[in-house]
Amino acid sequence: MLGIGAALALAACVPGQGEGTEDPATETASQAEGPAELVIWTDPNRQVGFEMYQDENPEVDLQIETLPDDIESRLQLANQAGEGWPDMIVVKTQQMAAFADAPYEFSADISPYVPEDLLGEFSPAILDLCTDGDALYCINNDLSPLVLWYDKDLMEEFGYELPTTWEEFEALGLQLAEEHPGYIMGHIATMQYLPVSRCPMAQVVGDMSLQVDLEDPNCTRVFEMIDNMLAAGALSPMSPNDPEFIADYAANRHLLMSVQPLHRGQYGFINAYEWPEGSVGIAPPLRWEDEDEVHNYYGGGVAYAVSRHSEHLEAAAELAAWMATGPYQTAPETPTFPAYRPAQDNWIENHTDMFYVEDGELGDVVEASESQLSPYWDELNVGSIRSSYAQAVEPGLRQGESIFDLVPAWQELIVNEAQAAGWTVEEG
Amino acid sequence: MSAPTAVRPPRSRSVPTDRPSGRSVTRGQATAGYVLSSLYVLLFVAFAFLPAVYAVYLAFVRPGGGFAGIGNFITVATDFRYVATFKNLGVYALVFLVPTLVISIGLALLLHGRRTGVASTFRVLYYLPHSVIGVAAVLLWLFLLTPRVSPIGGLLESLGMEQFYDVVRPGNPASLAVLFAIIAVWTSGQGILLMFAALSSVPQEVEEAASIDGANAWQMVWHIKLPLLRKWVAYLLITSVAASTQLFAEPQLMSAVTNGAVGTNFSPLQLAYTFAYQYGNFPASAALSIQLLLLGLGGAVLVVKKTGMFRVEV
Amino acid sequence: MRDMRIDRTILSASAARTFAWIGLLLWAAFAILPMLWLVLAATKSGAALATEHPFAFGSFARVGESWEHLAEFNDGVLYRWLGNTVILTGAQMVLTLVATVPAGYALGACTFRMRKPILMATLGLILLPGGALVLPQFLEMVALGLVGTRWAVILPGAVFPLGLYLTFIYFSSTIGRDVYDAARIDGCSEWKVFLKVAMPLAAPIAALVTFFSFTRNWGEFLLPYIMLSSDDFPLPVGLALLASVAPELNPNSIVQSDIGIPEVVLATLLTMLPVLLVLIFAQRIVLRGATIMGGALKG
Repeated sequence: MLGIGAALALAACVPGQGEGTEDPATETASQAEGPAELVIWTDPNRQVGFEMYQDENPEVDLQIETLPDDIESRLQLANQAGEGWPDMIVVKTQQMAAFADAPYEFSADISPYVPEDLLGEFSPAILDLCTDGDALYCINNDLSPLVLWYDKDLMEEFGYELPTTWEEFEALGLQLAEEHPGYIMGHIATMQYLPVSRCPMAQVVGDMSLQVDLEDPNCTRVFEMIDNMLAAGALSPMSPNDPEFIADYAANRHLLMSVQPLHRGQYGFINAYEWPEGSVGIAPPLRWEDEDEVHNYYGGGVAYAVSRHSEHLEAAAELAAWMATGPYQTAPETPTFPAYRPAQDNWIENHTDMFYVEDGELGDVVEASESQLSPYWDELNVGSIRSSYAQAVEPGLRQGESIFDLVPAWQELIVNEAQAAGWTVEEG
Repeated sequence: MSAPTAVRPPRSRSVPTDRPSGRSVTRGQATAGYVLSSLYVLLFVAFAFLPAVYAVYLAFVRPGGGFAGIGNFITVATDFRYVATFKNLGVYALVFLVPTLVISIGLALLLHGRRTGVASTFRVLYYLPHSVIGVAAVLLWLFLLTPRVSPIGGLLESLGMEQFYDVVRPGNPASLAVLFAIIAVWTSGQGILLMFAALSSVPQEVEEAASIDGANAWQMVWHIKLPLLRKWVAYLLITSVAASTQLFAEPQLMSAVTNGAVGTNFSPLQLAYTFAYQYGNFPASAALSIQLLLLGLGGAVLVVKKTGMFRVEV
Repeated sequence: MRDMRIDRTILSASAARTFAWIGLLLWAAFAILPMLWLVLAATKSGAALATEHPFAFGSFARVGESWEHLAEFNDGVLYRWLGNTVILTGAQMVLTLVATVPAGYALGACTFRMRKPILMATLGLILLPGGALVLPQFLEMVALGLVGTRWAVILPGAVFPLGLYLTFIYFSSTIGRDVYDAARIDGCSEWKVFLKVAMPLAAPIAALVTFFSFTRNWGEFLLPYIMLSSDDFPLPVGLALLASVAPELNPNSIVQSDIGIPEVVLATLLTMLPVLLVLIFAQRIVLRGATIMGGALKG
């Protein structure tokens, strides 16, 4: 009968009564004394890091929960119940802002617990994803900046020069299509071209307010490039993981070059496409001719966020800082490119033999790609805007339509998604 | 040829009714009834009924608390994806229900009367896909419908489909619904099993009597076997309607493996999930679930009315 | 003339037979070929899946390799998932049976006032999307202090409305009230009727309910994922975890691990195997149960 009684009592509850939703401000829980017990929600990849920390720090009791991708549902349920939060989670780049604000209201400001000079060792653009003014809502573990990957052997065979601007990239693509039909310059299935052109696809301009303007010249110049190259057959409308893409272009070395994130060198070109080490060339990211700087973008990454409900904020923040900057970042088990600069050298050393650099060292290319990340582009988690391109544009491109014909529907989808998630949207 | 209609299947042997057959007996029966059903009732009330009541209650409160009236229903109904998800569901349900019924009945009829070994082998074969769970079913069909790697790639290409995207044609979401329906039909071996079981319960004498009366195979099916299946068809329909309103896992997984090209809000239940876990709006999510329940109930009532399924039992 | 008609009957009968066989075999192919592909996929590398013939056999070495990757994944967590699944499913099956069979008998054989409301509420619950109950069930388990314990999954999982409905039909129609009434008239108490008359007859329906309960609980994902800590996850949640690691299945995944499509497929096959075995070995029992039910529903 206990069950029924308790359930009846709960039926009288009002949703959203939990402490978490009562004070959306960044107030934190009262702190507990004594040795810390920390509950961690991690993805499988980072589990080993937490285990390393546990070994080194036996006085802290870590309860490591390894979860599949979707931690949003567990967080929302904890918010509704007003209890059951972890002390720390691993968040993806696109979640960082959302977890600090509504509707999750989870991340705590850990700036009091993290030394300033430690933060100085991160690329400002990367750190920008975790900060809001002076507040620090997470610490970045890794980030994968875009670079230009190419087939070194094929470039030599065809006698082409590496492009440094998007205009040269397009011109080379058109030349390639004419001289060597069946060879391509990569894919268009991800958003790598729009952010680097600073197209206001969904630009945060204020509190819960967005600007969406796909008719901006910064967008249309990309659309023109894509249309031209697609029409010539210099780009594939498929995704670089598609079996067809791998069979038609990647595995048989018909892929002259491709703009992809840094981690794809090993995990895409060498492991999935099975190119031999040393044939995979890497070059710095491209810029637009009339601009002096590169505005680079990235292909994912994670950070550590501490719960504002934690009773051991300091211990959790220390753990977060250790994960992002400690020996885990240089351990052989760590597959990602560290966001923390001092640890990057180790990564570069480990990958030097794998990739070919035409001019200079691998370190130079990596630095160019990482230091030129643009803080201009706010990573978004408004509804499913991130996948709106895949939904509204990609299928049409695969059918051979012009991207200009697909853009109005895409913009409408972005606006709808944003509004449904509670954002106000200014168009144009 | 009017014989088969003369052969009526015998009615159920007994019908439980609530007629009392003596005071003390009834009281004893009532006590036994309450005691024996107590564990189920306890579990049912605590972990299914009360949560369901709470879900209904939730649908009528504001996200921040307070009575919302039909506010949450308006919130979901005015969402820009609402109509589309129900359209998808409609196509899916249609393409799922009709073949499931036809195939379950058809194959059970074809199997019925075969030698035991043959029948049981086929039954196991038909039931096998039912054991493919979760991500595997989606993965499987993703590959089967990718012309390059598919065993029916030649067929797909001859139909003008060269990529997976041509097959599902996202511009026309109805065809995705068809895809999910195919997966559902493929894994619905239970229907064949049920129908076969139902047919096996047709008394031998009925069939013999009918064939002595000169009924041929078609007449036998049409006038004797099908009417006997009526309640099973109703049962299958109701559980299938319920299952189809709950379409969730397949589109969700498809969305994940296609990197979002198949949107995350294909079915109403996915939209309910978005409301709850993306927006933290559990009341709106409950309102949407209630609508799905009503849809299922409506379908069930219709089926029950048309078939008289519960006329005897309850 | 008469002869010709017989000829035609024979002809059409044999044509019908042929068509029947074609139909049966076609559907068998439809059911089996994808399964066959799944089994073969476990023998190939991710790249070979894309380039080789769909029904080409890879190698046993590749299966061994995949198995090693799986067994090594997170220090052999696979075995733990398996153990958890057995515990959860076993407990749910036992509790389902203990709760459902007596209740089904009570509803079918005894006259009491709550009989009809219980049946109606049970039927209604079959139609409610399970997702709608997640939040209430979670809040309830928090209130009971059961989140993070196996009870939070076992207790809700033991409520099997469909099973109750089947048991009710069995005891009310298949066995029939006459049987119980006869025993009552012979002077049996209600308990004697239940224990000595009904229970000995309950084997077929108990087998049926056990089987259905097994297949539905074995593949359960949402409730275990929400309620349990990751040490207690069953196989289906483990599969989702594997899929989230495999880059082919999660294009956003930045990290490559040893887990790819072949590993996920192999893990899936392992998860399916018990269901398959139970099906093959238990199908006669299940069918007998279902046939008896068929008798109850006719007419």
